[in-house]
Amino acid sequence: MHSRGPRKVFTDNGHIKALELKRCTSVFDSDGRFNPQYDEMDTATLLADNAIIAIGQRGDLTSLNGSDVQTAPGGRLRCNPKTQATSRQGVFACGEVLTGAGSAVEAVRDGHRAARAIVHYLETGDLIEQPYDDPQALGELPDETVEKIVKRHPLVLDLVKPELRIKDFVEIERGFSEAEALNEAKRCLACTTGAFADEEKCAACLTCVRICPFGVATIEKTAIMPQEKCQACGLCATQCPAAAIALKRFGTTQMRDELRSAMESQNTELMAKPLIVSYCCLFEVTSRNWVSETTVNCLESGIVRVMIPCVARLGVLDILSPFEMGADGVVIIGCSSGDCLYPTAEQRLENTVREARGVLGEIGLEEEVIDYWRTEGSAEVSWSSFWEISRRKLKLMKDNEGERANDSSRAKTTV
Amino acid sequence: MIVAERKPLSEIKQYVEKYKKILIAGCGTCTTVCLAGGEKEVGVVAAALRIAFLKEDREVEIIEDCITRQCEPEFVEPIAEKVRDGGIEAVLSLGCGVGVNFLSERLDSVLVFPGVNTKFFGAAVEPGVWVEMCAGCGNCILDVTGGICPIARCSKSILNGPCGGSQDGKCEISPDVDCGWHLIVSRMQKMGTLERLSEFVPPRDWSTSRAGGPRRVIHEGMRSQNEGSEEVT
Amino acid sequence: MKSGSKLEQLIAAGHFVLTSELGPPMDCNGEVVLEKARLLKGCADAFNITDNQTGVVRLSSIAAAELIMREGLEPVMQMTCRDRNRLAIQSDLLGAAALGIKNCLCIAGDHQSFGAVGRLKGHPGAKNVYDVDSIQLVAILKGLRDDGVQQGGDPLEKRPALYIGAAWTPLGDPVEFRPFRLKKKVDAGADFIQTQGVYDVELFRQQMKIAVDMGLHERTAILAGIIVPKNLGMLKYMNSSVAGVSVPETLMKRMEQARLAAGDDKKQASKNQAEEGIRITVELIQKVQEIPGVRGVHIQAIEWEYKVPEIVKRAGLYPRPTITEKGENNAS
Repeated sequence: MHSRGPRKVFTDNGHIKALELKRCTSVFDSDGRFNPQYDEMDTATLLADNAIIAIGQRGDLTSLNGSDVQTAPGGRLRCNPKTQATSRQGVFACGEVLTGAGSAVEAVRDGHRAARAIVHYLETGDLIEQPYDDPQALGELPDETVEKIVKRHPLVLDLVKPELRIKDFVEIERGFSEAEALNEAKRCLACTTGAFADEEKCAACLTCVRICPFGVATIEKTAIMPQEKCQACGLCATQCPAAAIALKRFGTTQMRDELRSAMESQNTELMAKPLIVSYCCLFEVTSRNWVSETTVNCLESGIVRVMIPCVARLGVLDILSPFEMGADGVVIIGCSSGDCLYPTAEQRLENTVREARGVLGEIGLEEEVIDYWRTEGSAEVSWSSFWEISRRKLKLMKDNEGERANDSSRAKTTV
Repeated sequence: MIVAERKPLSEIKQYVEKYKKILIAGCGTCTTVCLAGGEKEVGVVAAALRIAFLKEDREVEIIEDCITRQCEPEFVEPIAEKVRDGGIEAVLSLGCGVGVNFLSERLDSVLVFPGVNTKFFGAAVEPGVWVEMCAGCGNCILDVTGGICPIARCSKSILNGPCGGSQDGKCEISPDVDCGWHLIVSRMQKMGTLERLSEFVPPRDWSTSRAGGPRRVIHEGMRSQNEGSEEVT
Repeated sequence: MKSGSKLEQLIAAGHFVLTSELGPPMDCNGEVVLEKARLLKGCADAFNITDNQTGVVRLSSIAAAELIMREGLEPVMQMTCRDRNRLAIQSDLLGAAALGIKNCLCIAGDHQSFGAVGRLKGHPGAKNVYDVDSIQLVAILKGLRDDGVQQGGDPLEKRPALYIGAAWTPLGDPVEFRPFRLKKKVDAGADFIQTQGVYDVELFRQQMKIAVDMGLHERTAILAGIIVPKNLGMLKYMNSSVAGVSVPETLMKRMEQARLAAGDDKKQASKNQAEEGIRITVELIQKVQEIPGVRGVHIQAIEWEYKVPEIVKRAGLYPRPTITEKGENNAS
């Protein structure tokens, strides 16, 4: 739709059918004023069943002329802010036509309020007063937490050079590639999506306080992780011995739930063996498409993949669970060394892997059935080879085990 | 706090492998805090046993639970009931030895096995490191030794230390063990009360400790209430 | 006289006394004890019989003490707090006295974990006792002997006449507290003191000065401990691993030179070191003799007892003084 302006609306029986557009030949006049010129002959048509006029800086209230709906100066509507009701019964309003320029968040909130008001009015014929629940502002992110956060600078995209811009209407800001966008997303501080403790379960053992790489967790009778500070790395939830800490963004049991649903969605009997559960760091993927493409063939590959925003939130139990469900191996793929968003997380994960291997060793299993890889380059570049190396190793282990079993049964029969 | 350490899983497996339905009972107090027997650890032990039994093609039902404290009748009774009514054949307690005793006393026909080794009364001197600081000897003499216990922290529990085995602040048994008496002397020196250590401490009466047989503590105020109510009924 | 032991009499008479050590075997071969006794006879005034030293089970101190008495040697029975509670300790003290033993060294004893060293397994899993500590043991023994009461308060008719000894580690950590701990032992009733092995004569002199300033040398007889070094390895080990023993660099250099002088000849190297070790020992004896307050030496030649006669002779401490029936002495 670049470089075009509306020319005509086609209707049929009062319903919009299409929009005709004309090409814009220049935007500014010789004085530099906004004064678009069009080529009426160069047109294009766009099929549509609705047209929303989304231009201009204020509401166009001409349609209310002569109606009961009272207006206010500045092109706004008069409206009771408690009930969202205008001066005319049965008409409600919301958004910037009431408030003037504001935030989209507030407009959305008021939309919800107006919707509730309308439902109530339709059901009861009455207005409903909805008090504004004062949204609690998050506190400031203190400097001592900021210091501990791994700094990731925003990607600055070069704009098209001015000498090129004047020649055409091509977008001057090219936007992010998918990989760049995913990388930019890592800069999200994940405010309010972090850890919270169940007071009933919390034993005030201080493990979270000692483990938190951002110095966020404290104990006041029970554990507290202030939302404005928590970076949602999940390390405390992983280590909490009372299983008292959960995460808002990625629940404590989500790994196992995802694993279970992944395993249950497949007939594990039919899957290629060795059956491998691979926990992978979501942050290392540079294309979401690749994730879905590689999911499809798990029947053939025998690799069930569980994507996790930072694999350091895997606990010993998460690493053991696949074996309970019949897996032959667990392959953990984390970020490249030193690249984790969360300080100390790599060390923690190493400890967890060591502990899980120790548990398997104690019950007489090979510790090598757990592999821990670090992404090289990106997921697309290195993961497939990691899976293949682990798969071959596990296959060899399984074959040897089978042979040993055969040997011993043969030995028994000869006896 | 009571400090414990999970037993090797091979040992735990041996205890329970002949049963078909097992309860693993965690304790939400001391053994949770020392990372040996809380809800999370119950899950790990349960998973490990399930994997082990799966490898042996054996079907064993493992039930997980974790109660606030295994040393209180009010907390223990519901779990004991669950065992009696649920057809559970064996219990693995991840509470300290007290928990194993307490559960055992309430379960006539079900064996309760210890899942942890109960070690000592100690403090977390750094994350993940606990050190013994009290021997529970029943007659505290910390007033004499600057608040540092020679019974618990001296390898020989001597009262007129340090012995000749103290070197660079460490005990003769290991360079990893602080010499308790070195700590005492340093502290008393700092406090300006070193001369107190020149006084001879006579042989102590160990009857307040384990040497006196199983011990009990009675809080009269609490007890008379219970007795009173018993009399009424 | 508190005990009438030869050691007590010689000390009382102002002699520079000499004690040595005899380690019993790890079996019940009393003949080994007797052989060592014959070898050492006349080389020292009394002989310490170790009590399960370093936490290794050996023929008992009381029995070995009785054995060497048959050869005419005077024993210093050692009694540790590690293996006995106050009942066993007092019972053994009474028994020892009944057998005619007259000296007893009261010590805490090495921790049982020491037993597992080298090829030895020891008993590191043993439950230790430490019902009382060494200073309390001194007090208990003094109570039995001087007050005629057991620790629990029951009286005894015939009191054990034992000369009470205690150990002192003058250079143990924390070094500033060591003189005060010595005073506690003396206050509790230690008649004589045998110190941990001294190599650093200067540091020992400083600690002795403090003890002398406290007047302890007059209330007890302090015998400086001398451990005979066999080779450089032993000196290094003692310096790094034995609490309260610090070996000056010069001594280690001397030993190293003795070893290097032999070149590649290993036999000669060990011979050279043995000779240097004895030379060092003799020098140490002579040096500590000059320190005010030192009333004798205690020579420990661990598993090397047969070298003691040579050492004593070369140190000019032979022959040893004798005492007459009346308890008077004939100085040599």
